[in-house]
Amino acid sequence: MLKNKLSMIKSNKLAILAIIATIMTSGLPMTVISAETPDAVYVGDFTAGATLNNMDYSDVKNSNTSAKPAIYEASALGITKGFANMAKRFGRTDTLSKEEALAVVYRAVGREAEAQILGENLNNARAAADKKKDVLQVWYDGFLQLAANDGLITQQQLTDALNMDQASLDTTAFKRKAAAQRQEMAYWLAKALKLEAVRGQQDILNNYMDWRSADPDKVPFIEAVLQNKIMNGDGYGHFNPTKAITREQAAQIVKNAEPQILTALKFEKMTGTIDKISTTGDYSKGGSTGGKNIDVRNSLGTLHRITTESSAAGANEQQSAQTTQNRRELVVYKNGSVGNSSLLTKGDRIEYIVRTSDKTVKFINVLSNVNKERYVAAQINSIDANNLLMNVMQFFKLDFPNMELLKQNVSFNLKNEAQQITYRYSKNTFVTLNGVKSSIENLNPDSTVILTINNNNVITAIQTADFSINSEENLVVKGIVEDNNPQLGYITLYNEDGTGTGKPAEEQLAALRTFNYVNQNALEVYRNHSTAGVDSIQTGDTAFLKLDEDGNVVSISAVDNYTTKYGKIISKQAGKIVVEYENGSQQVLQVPDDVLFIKDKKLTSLSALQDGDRVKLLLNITNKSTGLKEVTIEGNEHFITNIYKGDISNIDITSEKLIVFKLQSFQKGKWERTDRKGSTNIPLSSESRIYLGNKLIDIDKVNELLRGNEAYIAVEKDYGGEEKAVLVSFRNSEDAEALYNEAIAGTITGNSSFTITGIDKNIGYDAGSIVVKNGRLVSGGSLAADDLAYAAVNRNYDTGDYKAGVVMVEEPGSAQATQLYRARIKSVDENNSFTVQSFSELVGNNWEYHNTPKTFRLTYNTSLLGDDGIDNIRDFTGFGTGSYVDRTVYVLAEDTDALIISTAPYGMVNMKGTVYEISGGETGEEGTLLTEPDTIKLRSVKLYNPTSYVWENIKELELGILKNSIILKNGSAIKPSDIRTGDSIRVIKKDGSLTGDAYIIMVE
Amino acid sequence: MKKSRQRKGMKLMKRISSLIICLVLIMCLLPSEANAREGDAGYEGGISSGESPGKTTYEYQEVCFISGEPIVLKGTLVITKQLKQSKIISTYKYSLKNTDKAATLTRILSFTTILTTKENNQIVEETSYSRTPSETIKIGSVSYILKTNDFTRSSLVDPKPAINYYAGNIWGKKVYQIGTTANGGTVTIETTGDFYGYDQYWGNVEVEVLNHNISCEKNNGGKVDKWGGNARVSLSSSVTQQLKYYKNQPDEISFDGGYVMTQYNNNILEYTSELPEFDAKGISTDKVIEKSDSLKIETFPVQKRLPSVDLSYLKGHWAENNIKLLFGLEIFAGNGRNFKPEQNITRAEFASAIVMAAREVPPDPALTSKLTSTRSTKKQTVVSPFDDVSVDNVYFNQIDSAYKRGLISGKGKNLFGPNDSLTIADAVNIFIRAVGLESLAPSPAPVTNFKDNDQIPASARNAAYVAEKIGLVLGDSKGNLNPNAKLTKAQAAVMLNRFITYMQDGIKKEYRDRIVNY
Repeated sequence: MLKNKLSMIKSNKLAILAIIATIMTSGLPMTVISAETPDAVYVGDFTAGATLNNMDYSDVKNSNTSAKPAIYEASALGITKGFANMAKRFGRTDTLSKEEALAVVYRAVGREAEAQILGENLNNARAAADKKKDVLQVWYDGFLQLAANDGLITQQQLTDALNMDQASLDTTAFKRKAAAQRQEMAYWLAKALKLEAVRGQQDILNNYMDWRSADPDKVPFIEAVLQNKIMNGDGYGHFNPTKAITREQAAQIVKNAEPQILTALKFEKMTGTIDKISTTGDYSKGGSTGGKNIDVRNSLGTLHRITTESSAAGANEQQSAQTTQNRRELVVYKNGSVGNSSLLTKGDRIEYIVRTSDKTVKFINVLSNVNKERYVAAQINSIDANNLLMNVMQFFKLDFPNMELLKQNVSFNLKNEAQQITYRYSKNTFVTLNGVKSSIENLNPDSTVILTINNNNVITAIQTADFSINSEENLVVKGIVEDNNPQLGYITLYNEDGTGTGKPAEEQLAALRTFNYVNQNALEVYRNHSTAGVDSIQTGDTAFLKLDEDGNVVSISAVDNYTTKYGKIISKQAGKIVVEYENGSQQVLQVPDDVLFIKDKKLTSLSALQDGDRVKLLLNITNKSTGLKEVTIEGNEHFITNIYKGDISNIDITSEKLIVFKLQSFQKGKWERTDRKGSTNIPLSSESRIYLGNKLIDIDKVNELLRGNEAYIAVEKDYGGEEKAVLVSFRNSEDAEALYNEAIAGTITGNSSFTITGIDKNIGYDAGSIVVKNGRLVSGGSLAADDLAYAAVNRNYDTGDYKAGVVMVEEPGSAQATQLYRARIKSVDENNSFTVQSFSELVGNNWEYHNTPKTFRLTYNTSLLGDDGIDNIRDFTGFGTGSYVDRTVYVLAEDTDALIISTAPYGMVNMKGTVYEISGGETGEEGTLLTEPDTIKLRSVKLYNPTSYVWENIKELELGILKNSIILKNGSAIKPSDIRTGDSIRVIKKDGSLTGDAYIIMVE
Repeated sequence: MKKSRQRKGMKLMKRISSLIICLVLIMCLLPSEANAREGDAGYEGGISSGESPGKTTYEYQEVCFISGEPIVLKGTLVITKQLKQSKIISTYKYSLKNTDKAATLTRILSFTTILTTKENNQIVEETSYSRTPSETIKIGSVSYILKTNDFTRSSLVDPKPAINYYAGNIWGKKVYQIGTTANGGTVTIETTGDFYGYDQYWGNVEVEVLNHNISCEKNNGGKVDKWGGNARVSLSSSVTQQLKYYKNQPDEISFDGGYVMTQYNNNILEYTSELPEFDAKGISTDKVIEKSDSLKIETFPVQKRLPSVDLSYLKGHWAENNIKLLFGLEIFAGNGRNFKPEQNITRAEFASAIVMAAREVPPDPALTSKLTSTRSTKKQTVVSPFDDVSVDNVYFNQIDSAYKRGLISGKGKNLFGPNDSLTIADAVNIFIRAVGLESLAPSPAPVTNFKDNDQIPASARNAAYVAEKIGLVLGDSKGNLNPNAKLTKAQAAVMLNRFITYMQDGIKKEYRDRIVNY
């Protein structure tokens, strides 16, 4: 765990300093003045005496193995056990058998009891003669059974292991008493600890040259224990997968797996310094019991008390265990030996492992004594091996040699101490290089280390650790912002190498990548190179942070990393939009208030966005969320310009064209034949989709199976002006088609259908239905009640169900609120306004006269129509020969803004009819309109009789169009060439004759 | 001005080495090429058909705004080019008309383009007039004669292993005299614009957006009619290759179908103008009218059948179609009989595939014909850059080319590791290097959306981010990239296909539709 942490810290060295500084300034405990109540009280262990007695290992006690603390700790926690023979051996260098290894593994995760029950069950099931007598063997059977149940060993291996006659097994069999291999230990431990197998990631394993000799099935698990620093190589590039494991190695492995094991056993390890040891006495229980209160200043600053109770003073510890066993004692490891609480002295820095359930202290490891040793974080400058001297740059002191606790216990005092200093080091200096025991020769100059220095200023231990020197240029850190929280005053960056999203890293390291804002007012913030507020920094930004010497952020410069994506709006809802991206995936995007909407290079708002719009989205995509920043709405490039129906003869694959016969176009809810006879070619757009019913089909299928079938075809104007088919939907010619022109009465959500006003049937839609709303191809889901729809609906000849083939919803009429006047001009204020002395207003079919003056504004859009066509508005004056004063003109106005002033003659006869011919216009050979048409012919003509108020039928009519005739459609002026045959029009002319000129033409 | 071709030309001249021989070999195998064609439409805001190598007369169209009314002029453009050291001298002759409007245009322009290769391998191009241009426009009875003309155009070409990107700016000012005498007045058209494009084997696109500012002072019987207007013209020309599978109709045929590669050539012009309305006497009014329209020149698609190998044993394999196509494109070499999709692809095999999928940018045929003839005359001893790849290795040419083009690096000192496998991360790196888009990734190191983001090696992090963004990699069903997994042949086939699709289509969209439509 510790090593793990260290290696990760490497990735963001200065972050630590920042944390440290923050803690320093904000949270270190105040000096205790009066008697303090402990924050937590822990108690000694009833079994401590027995444990100490059991682990009085002769082969450990006198050795100087580095695994000593591990052996005692693993034994104290009941994970490894010694040999219960009289010699009291741990069997340090003995190999660990496979069954023992499994026992260690299961004890380490607190599943010993489970195994024992299984073992007993196995034994109970045996015939009396076969029953095992040795309870230990019975239990090992249980561990083996458990291992098989969990898949640590195979059923075959279990069978081998439970074979009574182990000697008869051949060499490849699983012999329970055979030595466990290192790879087996790795595999079992990883499985039992539920470490995630690391596949594909063989960096670490590749560092060991012998990895190929490992069992391939176990490789991902070896990888896992290596990554978790539970097992290591031999320091020479070997992992030795098949080598037998020794018992002391097993203990060390248990120690290395401490973080995982303690969690599994529900134990907790804490660190602190002994403040005070006081004795207590209790005579209330009839006898006399004594005990100690050991007050520990925890590394987090809180006060912990550990209490022990022992039998009455004078009890002889050297007599039989039963009588002398201390009650509630402690197992303490200090300076290479174990003992009880009496080993503890004030100032000891201890690690204490506590069973959470009953707050019992199971093991105490004395690291050092504050009075005897100190810890310094430093960088090695040079090593003089001949004279045992080491020159270092030291940069802060630590209370504990533990990087995990670094944030809590470091103190800066660089300013007071010489940074460069030479220490003598002990010949036996204990060196740990990246968590592996090593020697001083392997230390490189520039290594960053934690030095253990005794009170003679001699270095006694060195462990490598990663943290950076606090130098000026290092005070800038950079990274991608993971989280910015100005309210709580911090910012978290991902690691500079782009990692930090994985779960473990996220949990362990987020704190180390977090930097604090101390004074937000004094903070300098730039985003995209302009001054900004700290809250403008967003997740996903690239940020450079300038830190002060305490590690707090003083300046931030960030740029966004927004991504552009293109898509189509599926639906727009309150505060959010549903977008379909080009790859077909859909996403719901929240629309915060600050999102910019742009259309035609002009700022607009969400209301301008409609279902079916194509959009360019500026997104802040992070691995946590997608934030919408900007929406650019495409113009009418992809609007549906026409919907056709016709028989698709075939598709030309090379040029990707539909060859269509019997082509009709959908006009105001009716199918109308197009000008062209025979076949028409309609190119397919690159995004075209072809449906048969609700099924998407490919082009080949059309040519193979659907030649000559009728289909609906929606076309849009492609880039370049050509109509291209975007949606082709085949219909079943046996179905009956009905046409409707009504408002939608309602939609049935979840049923993909809608109803039409006055028609009592549900009309379904699916992906094959062509639904066009306001020019945009949308899905049926975008239809809403009250939409005025033109629909072509098919009734299934088989089921009788109704399905929409085409639904076209017209934009609600946005007719310009214009008014036509006939007026006599009184005065002209050139280029500004003109006033009429009296006027008539066209109301319905009648001119209403008002004998009052009225002033109209002349705007840049005012056109002047004279007898020869457009006159120059600058010539609209009230003086000279061309004066307009006293002339009677037509004025088309929107409010008081004059749009058109026309000198066309006065007429008061209303006629209406349907245009069947337009003539007189001239088109050049390249298709340019050279002159506007000047004659229209009407059929179904009616003449309005103002006295009887009725429209009387008359014959056909031929009318001239003057150059100053006003032609209106939806309130706006259009040109004669914009009139289409089939248009219903109303005209105002001079008299009721069947010829003459139309002064005013209104297309209805 | 033909940057890519230029660069190629110069480069080729410099390194006439063993590579040339293999290049020539590869070139012979190529189906129809999408040639680099920047400049084929001139710099006047028009579009041309400019498609076939060796052709100098093109169908051409532009819109003329000089009279205050957009008039489409159509006709021919004749281009001649010469390469002299690092200069290109080009001449453009226009002959256009609009019969409806009784309009004609004749114009002759000569340019000098100077190419400067910078230290970072980018090329700066500067184009200016080499001779006084001439232009006469007649619309009805009015003629407009070019009096003064300033023009400057500069672009930056960034050549990447498989694609050349360029971007540039254009500025010009033309003053025309109205009528044949000096007192008829003048029209001044100022043009600013920018253009973007890329050249690569699978297609090329150039998009240009020009803004014309027109100002007229016309003498009208003693009165000067002054008006001004704007026109925005967007132009695009694109050549794209598309691949389509045709299944054979008859059953009893030795192969079941095959791919057809079709080359399309599209040239589109769109304009929007804001010009005054003119009264019946031809005098400008205060009302401004917006007009927009588009023109298009498309040339006939050219088809090419690709070979079809027998992969019947792969029928139903999830990468069957991808593998089929790659054999058709000869990106996977051989008869396909020993193709094992689940085998790890070796570095040599991958190198040979990538040099075919990420082919070199085709040079400008108008400028390279002379060079080609000199190629075969100079041969040099072939030396392998790697100790572990002998010149006799079947993959030698491809490895050598992939290495020299910077697609694949070696493995340490003089070693290539031709038989080693490569990881997904390695492949992603190579693809992104080919298109040179590493720098799209945010700094210092991007965080990808893959679940196994943390496993991505630092060296492939930028590439993985960009590949995710442009859709080159999708991640598996669990959202993992599995960057350190060994790449199988089937996976390689899928990635190569996506790469080709991106080169054909993805990048085109980014350049053409998007710059124009938004």
